Amino acid sequence: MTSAVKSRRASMAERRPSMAERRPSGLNSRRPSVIPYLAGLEKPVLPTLPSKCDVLICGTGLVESILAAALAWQGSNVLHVDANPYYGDTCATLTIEQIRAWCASVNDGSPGFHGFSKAMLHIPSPHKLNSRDYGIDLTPRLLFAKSDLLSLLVASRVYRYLEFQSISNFHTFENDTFDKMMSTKEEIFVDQSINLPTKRLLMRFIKFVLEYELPEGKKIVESHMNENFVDFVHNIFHLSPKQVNEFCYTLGLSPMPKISVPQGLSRVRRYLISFSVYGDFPTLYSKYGGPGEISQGFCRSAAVAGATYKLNTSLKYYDPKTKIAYLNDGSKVNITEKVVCSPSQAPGGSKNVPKMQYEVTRLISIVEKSCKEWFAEGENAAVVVFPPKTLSTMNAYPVQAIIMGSGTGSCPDGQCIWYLSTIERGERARKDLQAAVKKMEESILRESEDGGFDVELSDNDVAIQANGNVSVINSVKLGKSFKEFVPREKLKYLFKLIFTQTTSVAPFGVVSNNVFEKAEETEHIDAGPDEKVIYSSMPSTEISYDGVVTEAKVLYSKIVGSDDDFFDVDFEDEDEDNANTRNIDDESAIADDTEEFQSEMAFEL
Amino acid sequence: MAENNTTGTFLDGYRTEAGIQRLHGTKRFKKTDEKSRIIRRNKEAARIANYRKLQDTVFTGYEKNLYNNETFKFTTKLLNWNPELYTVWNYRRDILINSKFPGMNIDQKHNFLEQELRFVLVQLKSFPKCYWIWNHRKWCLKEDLRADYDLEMNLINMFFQVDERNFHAWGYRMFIADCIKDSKQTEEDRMNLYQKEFVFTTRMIKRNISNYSAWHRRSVLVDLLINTNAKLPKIIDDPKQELYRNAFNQKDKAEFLRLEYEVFLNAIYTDPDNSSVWIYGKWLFSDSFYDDMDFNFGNSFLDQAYGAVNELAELEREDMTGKENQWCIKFNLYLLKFKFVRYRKCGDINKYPEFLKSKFAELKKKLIKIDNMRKQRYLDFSLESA
Amino acid sequence: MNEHNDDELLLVEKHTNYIKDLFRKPVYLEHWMADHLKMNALYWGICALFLMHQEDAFKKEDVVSFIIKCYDNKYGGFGSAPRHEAHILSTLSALQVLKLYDSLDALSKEQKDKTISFIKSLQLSDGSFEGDRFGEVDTRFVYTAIQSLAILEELDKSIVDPAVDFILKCQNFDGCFGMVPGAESHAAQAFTCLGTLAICNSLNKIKNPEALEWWLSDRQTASGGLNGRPEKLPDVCYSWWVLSCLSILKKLDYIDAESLVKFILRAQNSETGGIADRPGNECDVYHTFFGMAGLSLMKKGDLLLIDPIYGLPTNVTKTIKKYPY
Repeated sequence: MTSAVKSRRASMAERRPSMAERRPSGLNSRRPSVIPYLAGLEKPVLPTLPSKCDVLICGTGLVESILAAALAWQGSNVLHVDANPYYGDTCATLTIEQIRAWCASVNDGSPGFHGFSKAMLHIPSPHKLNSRDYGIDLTPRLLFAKSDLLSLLVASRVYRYLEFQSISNFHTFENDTFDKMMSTKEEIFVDQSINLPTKRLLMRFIKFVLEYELPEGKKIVESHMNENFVDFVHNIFHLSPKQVNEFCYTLGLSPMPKISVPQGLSRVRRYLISFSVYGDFPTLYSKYGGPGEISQGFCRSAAVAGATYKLNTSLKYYDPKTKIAYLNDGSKVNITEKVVCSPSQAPGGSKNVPKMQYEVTRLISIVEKSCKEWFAEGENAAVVVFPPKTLSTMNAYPVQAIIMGSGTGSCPDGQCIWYLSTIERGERARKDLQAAVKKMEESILRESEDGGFDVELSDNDVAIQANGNVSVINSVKLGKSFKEFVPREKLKYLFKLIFTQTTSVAPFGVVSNNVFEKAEETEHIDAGPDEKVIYSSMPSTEISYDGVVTEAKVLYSKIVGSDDDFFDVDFEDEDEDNANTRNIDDESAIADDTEEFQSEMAFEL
Repeated sequence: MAENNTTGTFLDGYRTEAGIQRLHGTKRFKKTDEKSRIIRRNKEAARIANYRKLQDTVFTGYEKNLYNNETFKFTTKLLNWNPELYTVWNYRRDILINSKFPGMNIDQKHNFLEQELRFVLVQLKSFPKCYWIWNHRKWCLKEDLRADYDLEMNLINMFFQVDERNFHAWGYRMFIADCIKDSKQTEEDRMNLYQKEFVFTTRMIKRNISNYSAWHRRSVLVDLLINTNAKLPKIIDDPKQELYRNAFNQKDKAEFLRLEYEVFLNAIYTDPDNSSVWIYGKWLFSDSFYDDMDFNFGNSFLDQAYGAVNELAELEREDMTGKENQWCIKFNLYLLKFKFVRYRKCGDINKYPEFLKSKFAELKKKLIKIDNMRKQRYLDFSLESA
Repeated sequence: MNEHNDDELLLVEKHTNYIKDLFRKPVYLEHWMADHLKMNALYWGICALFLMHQEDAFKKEDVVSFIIKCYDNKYGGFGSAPRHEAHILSTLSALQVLKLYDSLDALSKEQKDKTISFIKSLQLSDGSFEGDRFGEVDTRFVYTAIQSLAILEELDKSIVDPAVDFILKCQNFDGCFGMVPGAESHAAQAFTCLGTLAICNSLNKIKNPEALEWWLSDRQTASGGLNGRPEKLPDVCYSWWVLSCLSILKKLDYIDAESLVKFILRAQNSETGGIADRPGNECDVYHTFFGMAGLSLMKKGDLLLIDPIYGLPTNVTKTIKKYPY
């Protein structure tokens, strides 16, 4: 390694505290960071803050970071601060040590941690966790290949700071088995276990989902507008309850049972149209950490556009009359436009924080097992969903789980992080999550048990289970019931964290501006340290990134007046490189690439 | 370019807003105002001067038959700007033939052409539908006695990742397969190559059953494989492929049809609106397979297909829109006629069941109604029409 | 035709100006970079003008003297622009435009003879033609060579018979034709093959014409437009490739003309003139011509009738001597 690269790392350490903290212990175990140093572009961290700015943003969560970048590129002078010593705020990616500190702060109600509660951390001792080998997401999320955030990542070029991996396995837990959903034309075509009429029914539904916005489909949707999505699919498309569950909860990732027809359809559609955009997978995640990495990417972009950053800094008081913001380090900043604040970092004594009436409870486990049995070949992550009433607790809401293997860069080899969440409330939520973890534990032990089931089996093979029972099993590995299964080994849990987060954002089916405008209904005029401060929302309960860009745009409109020029940036300069070999003029760049590939060859005579 | 080559205002240039790679599928541009046009013109002025100077240099070399390292480099530079200049590709080959190749042994020539292929690859990535570039690649491979055809096959797969129906890539695949075939000594080896290609089409179809290019290639390969006397060896661990291999080795058309019929059924039940599969399906029920088939056995097979497609048509009709699937009806109309033709050829034409005749008329009527665009075609279509 | 509705009208004046504008002094780099297409574009543009009865839009002498400047002294035949090497594609375009202006005699005896031997030299033993001395084999080149020789009235049995044999080998199981034997069917190849067979008086040799007719008529999509292969998007240029074939086979009524006319007219740019591959896309002279040629075959918009075999107006092709002589 050249010395230039080494010194690059040293400077990274100063600039990106959360990343610097996360240094791998083993040699060559992982790359330290995927965010390249922006030579000559990035502003050094200032020892003192500017005395004036257009917009002050408190909290470096994902929405706030997108907002900061959008404003900075639009030409606003942005000061972006965070109360914590790391970036990411409510969606940070943290090390084990940072998680310990975070739990303590959450439980003693420290400022900067509002919205989180009842954190319980259990690390069995003696433990062998090297803190910096882990990147734990407070708000893990999935990125659909066709989504507004991905488009924004590309348009803003922030994707260049990140590395993405695919997730194609979406498992459903039902009747004590994990099933992988058949969801594409190709899978349905080659699958030999489903009969022809069933293929037809499945394909018909899939086609309907892709086309329901056309006049014919619209009519059908309109006449079933207020029905429950699950009933609708069952009654109209004659799919089995199991298939309906898979569509609604696994592919659609619906967070609740009684979702309306248009909402359910849009969710399944999101999955289907995301397939094959970049390859044979519907979703991606950013390596080394989800929203935490992405928000840092946007912070970088904002910095390139001239935004100023300072960590360990929070808002104490904003005076809307003089338009002066007072910060915890004693400095005063003149604000020409607005102050935006994350509810988590609201000043002490705030009067206008939006009411947070919705809950999401998360259980994060690190297990000593690679869990590769759940991943598609060449991949490092998977999704498992427990639809309502499939757990011993008769769960009223689905439990959603994202499984991150070591290949994601968030934990060492031979280990795996399980992120489970539900929008059930209180104790019931915790019971549901525990029950789901139990099922996952049974499953992974059974899948990975040596000898018994790892052998290649043909369709009609009979295998002897560990307990001596004889059963006929099929060749789909994850489709085996493990009701009777008694594992030979125990699963080792290295880390278990459970906590509750509240938010003002109602669980939604289709994202709209409305969702976020509603979440922040209160007029912020009550006197107090946060008078006239614009609040962002605590992260929504949604497991995908849907809503993040919408919310950033809602906030942007409040400051700029409209979102017409939201990230309307022309990165013209960098195209010069290609000019020699490609078509020269910039106007032609308007042409859509994908369109070009679809088109017929040019035929000349 | 020498100014005196053009006179008057006519045809000084062909002002295309659409170079060949842009002839299709380009969204209408934003209209530009005078100001931005001037900016663009100024921005491009230097480039235009460079381009024209370079082009003039190259064409002067071409006209004077200058074949040397320097002129070679100029062609590289110019083709990097504009790979559509077929004259420059020709000149480049002239230079290679006249100044580079002489004196090279087979290995040296191979090493040199490897570089040339790399140059071509970069171009192809930017212009995957430019005839001249593909053409040059083919020429290089024909010149190279040590050409690595496997590498070319992998490259083609790369192009299919981006566009699995690229006409050029499919044509190039045929070309490479032919090159490999020509290098094989025995009929067994040659047919085994086609077997591998057959497996490849299976894979492509599984990936996307709408890929008509793959179905087509499959039809060509099946024709070759089922008519050869060569024995195919086992190449992959796949029970389905083994069944195909046996069918080919036994020249067992009926068994092949049985296997392929399953694929066809699965495909139409998965996507009954997909024309690719229906066109391929028609081929499975054509003279290619039925010429030498037992009359009654052939008929029972036809009836089976007719029944399955009919069932699918019923399923489709029960759909909430209540619409008919016209492909099902078209296919069965075709089957009824094919059966009639068989009766005429190898059976007793008078024994063709009356109820099939009325069924034929019924389906025709239905098609005229639901596919009115092609009404006349159905009116012309009869059991007797050729 | 309705008044005041751009969607229903062929914008003759706009298209005329659009085409005239294409051949002005180049301004941008991409204009300078379009040499390889110039001769083809000239044929597309000028033939479109003739169809619209705008044959006087350019001065005949200008056009003819430009074409003569593209004559390749070294090999015979015509290049796509001055100084470019002769290629069969640009040679046909040059001969077509000369024929349009009834100016074949602008070629000297030597030029004509050398052009004939250039074309004949491209034929290979299997009857196919190469595009130039390094060119690949493709039914496009068979058609262009055969029509060129037809215009020059130089066809004979020794050329025609092997060419016809080669074309017949390119027919596929679906009835349509590909670039070479075994290659996938494509509507444009249907035209080059049927066109060749028609010029060679060999249409009766087509096998399974019903399958071919069905394949061609199945190219019409719900939007009215035609595509070139199954499961592809419709494109205005197939109004020519497919329709010319159906016309040669006397089956023009196998598609719905009304919806196709609408599709073509909607692809016009009512501001700048020109026709695009699909409504809403950018225009070019290629689609402008082929859209118009399609309309002409359907006898729409007061256009000169185009000959489906030659791609030239029928009043021009009636002066071409028909094979066998």
